[in-house]
Amino acid sequence: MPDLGVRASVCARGGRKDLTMPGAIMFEFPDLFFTGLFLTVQLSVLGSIGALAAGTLIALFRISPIPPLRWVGVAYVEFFRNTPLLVQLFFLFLGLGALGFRFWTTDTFESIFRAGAAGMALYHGAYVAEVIRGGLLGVDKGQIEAARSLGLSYVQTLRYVQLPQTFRATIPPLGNIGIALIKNTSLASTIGVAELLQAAEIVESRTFRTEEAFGAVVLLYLVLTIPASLGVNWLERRLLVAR
Amino acid sequence: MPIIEFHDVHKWFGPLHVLNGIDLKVDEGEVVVVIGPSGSGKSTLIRTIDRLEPIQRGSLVVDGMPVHDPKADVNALRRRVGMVFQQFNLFPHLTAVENIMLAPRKVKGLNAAASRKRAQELLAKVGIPEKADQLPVRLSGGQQQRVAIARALAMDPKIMLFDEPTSALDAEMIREVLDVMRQLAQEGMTMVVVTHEIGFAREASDRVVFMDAGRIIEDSPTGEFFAGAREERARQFLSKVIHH
Amino acid sequence: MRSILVRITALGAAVAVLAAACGGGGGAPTQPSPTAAPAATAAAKPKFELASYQYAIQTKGKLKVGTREDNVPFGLKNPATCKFEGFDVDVVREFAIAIFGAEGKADPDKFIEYVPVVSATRIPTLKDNKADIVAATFTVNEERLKEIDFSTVYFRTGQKILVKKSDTTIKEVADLKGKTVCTAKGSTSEKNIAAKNKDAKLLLLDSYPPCLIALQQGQADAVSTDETILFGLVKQDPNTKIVGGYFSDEPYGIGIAKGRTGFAPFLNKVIADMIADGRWAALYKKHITPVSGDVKDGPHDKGRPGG
Repeated sequence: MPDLGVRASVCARGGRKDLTMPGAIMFEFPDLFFTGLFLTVQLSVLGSIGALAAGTLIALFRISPIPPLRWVGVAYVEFFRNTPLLVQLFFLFLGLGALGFRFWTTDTFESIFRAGAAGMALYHGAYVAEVIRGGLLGVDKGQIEAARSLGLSYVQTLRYVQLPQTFRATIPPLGNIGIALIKNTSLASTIGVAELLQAAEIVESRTFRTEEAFGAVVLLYLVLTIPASLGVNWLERRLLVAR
Repeated sequence: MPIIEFHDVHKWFGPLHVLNGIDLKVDEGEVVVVIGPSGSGKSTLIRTIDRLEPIQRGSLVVDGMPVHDPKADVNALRRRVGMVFQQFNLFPHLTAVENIMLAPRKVKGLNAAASRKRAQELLAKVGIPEKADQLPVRLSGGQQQRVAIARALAMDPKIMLFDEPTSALDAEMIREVLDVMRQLAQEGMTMVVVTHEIGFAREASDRVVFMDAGRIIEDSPTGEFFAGAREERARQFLSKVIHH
Repeated sequence: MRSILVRITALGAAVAVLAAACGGGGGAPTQPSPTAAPAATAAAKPKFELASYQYAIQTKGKLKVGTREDNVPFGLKNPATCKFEGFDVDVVREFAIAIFGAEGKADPDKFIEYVPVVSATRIPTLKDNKADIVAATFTVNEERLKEIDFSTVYFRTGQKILVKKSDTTIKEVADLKGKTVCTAKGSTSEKNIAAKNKDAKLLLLDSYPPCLIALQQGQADAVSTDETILFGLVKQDPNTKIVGGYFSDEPYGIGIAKGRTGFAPFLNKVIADMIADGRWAALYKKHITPVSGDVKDGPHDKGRPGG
């Protein structure tokens, strides 16, 4: 077991064994904690990209001039926003599994991971869709007319005039959704994804060092979420200056 | 050979009959000013030419294209017709030059270098070459409107429409915009202008159209109109506007 | 296919809906009446030493019990009635009767506050004082004894393997090499598999019903945990079978926090009495026989190959 010296230095000073530095336990079980951290990061990144893509598409559906697309958009948002993420994860893992769909892989763990990432994307996509829709509707109607009068098509107007402004205006709420998504990846542990929380649960059940195990996980989540918050603030400031 | 031809055009907003039997012809190279009290339908009239407002009855042919036909290629029409709005409507996330380049690049497929060069020329033409890389928020109203004119010109339209282009501007900025429009008129651009600027109408237009309550009340050559409008309502309106 | 979907939906929904539908863990029906209980029936209650923990519970008027909600046949919150049932639950009711006397016998649940637990939350629930006892197929072992105390063993089983009936490749724990084995997080089962066959791939879920579905769908090749729990799973899905011998000894005890004066001996006495007077055998017959087919009169060691 690699010891990075944190525990040793405490012991050398005569400290008791359970007086290790907060988070030191993660270096005793690096396989569990850091593999878990990596999976959490992967879930967060893939989930965020997916949520942004799904949310943008659904937002476009919701403001579309074609009624059936609007209905699909409304149904999506209401379904994914009004059912618990946990239930959605179970459905993606076991429900779709029952229908024979395994996310294009025969490997159980890969399929569970993909179910987890899809769950993150679909659930948070509903929130993203509402934010983006608000942003799109917030773009001044005159600009849309100006774009159309120049010969830009409906889609080109969305793409070059409405969406770029929407993304700028919606960075703070989108950032909040992203941070919530990072924290919500912990729910993937319930369908068997060996992410951070599950790593802590395993370490806890093997060592009974509950406070240390979950303390380490709290630290690792903060390592992910605090930079994310700072990044969102920075982007927001930068774009405010640019205006 | 008229480039814009209205024939018995009607439009309703709900129960409101905003265009009531419009007959109007504009020849190529002509500058026509539309005046009238607010609510007379003049903005709606000009917006139908670009099909920003669809019409419900009658025929409207612009540059050979039947605008009244729902199947008409509206984007092709709009490429040939430039529009300038009261509120400028620049894209706030793009710089002046990017505002001008967007449509040539995305609609005409021009490359970046060619469209930028053309945009710079147009900015020079409207008198603000040094503002190329400014975002709209950093420009005065007059400068914004001149960028908007350059943006419309970048598509090399055959017709330019102006919907109260100076109404949102302070007095000192109105002049710089009107100067650009006067220059365009001299160059032979076909223009339809909705405005309250009687001075501009008098100096730069070929014809004046007076509208009230959704109808064209008077349509006279500029000289005749100002020498003595035939219609009582036009005379009343004129006296009010001029005394202000 | 449809029935599986319905069950998954029910499973997922259970997590969210049950709590709400059953009024936040069934607290309401177990609340003792604050005025009537202490004064009126003081005479009918057993006498305990003032320093003992059971006296504290009696005074408090409530026994807080950590148990599972989805662990047939030991602890189950019946979705239809919102009441807890199972072997563990009935043992707990005997404790309530022993503490609260005649009134407890009339309606033990009136004196019990159920705290839902999963494998991983059993020890924290005790340490954080959220429950007085945890009765949840809780295996007594050395590591856990460092953290908490246990009663004497009230039930004994061992770990086995559940596979699909059609499976011919898995016969014992050694065959799990490279296979995906589903078990509950924070359970001894997880540690036992990891110890007996490090080449088995562990799929760790919160409880066993999802593991059964994973097995049915082929997401898992096997489910492994205590045989008694596997009995419950076979009952739910007759297309599964239990294979191999015991590869662990799982003596269940009632978990209690450390430092509960006189409490463990008290529980031990209740357990011993239950075994001696046949109440234990009756509970076995009621809950376990329907799934196992055998009859027992106490947590004996005999007939256990693994040990």
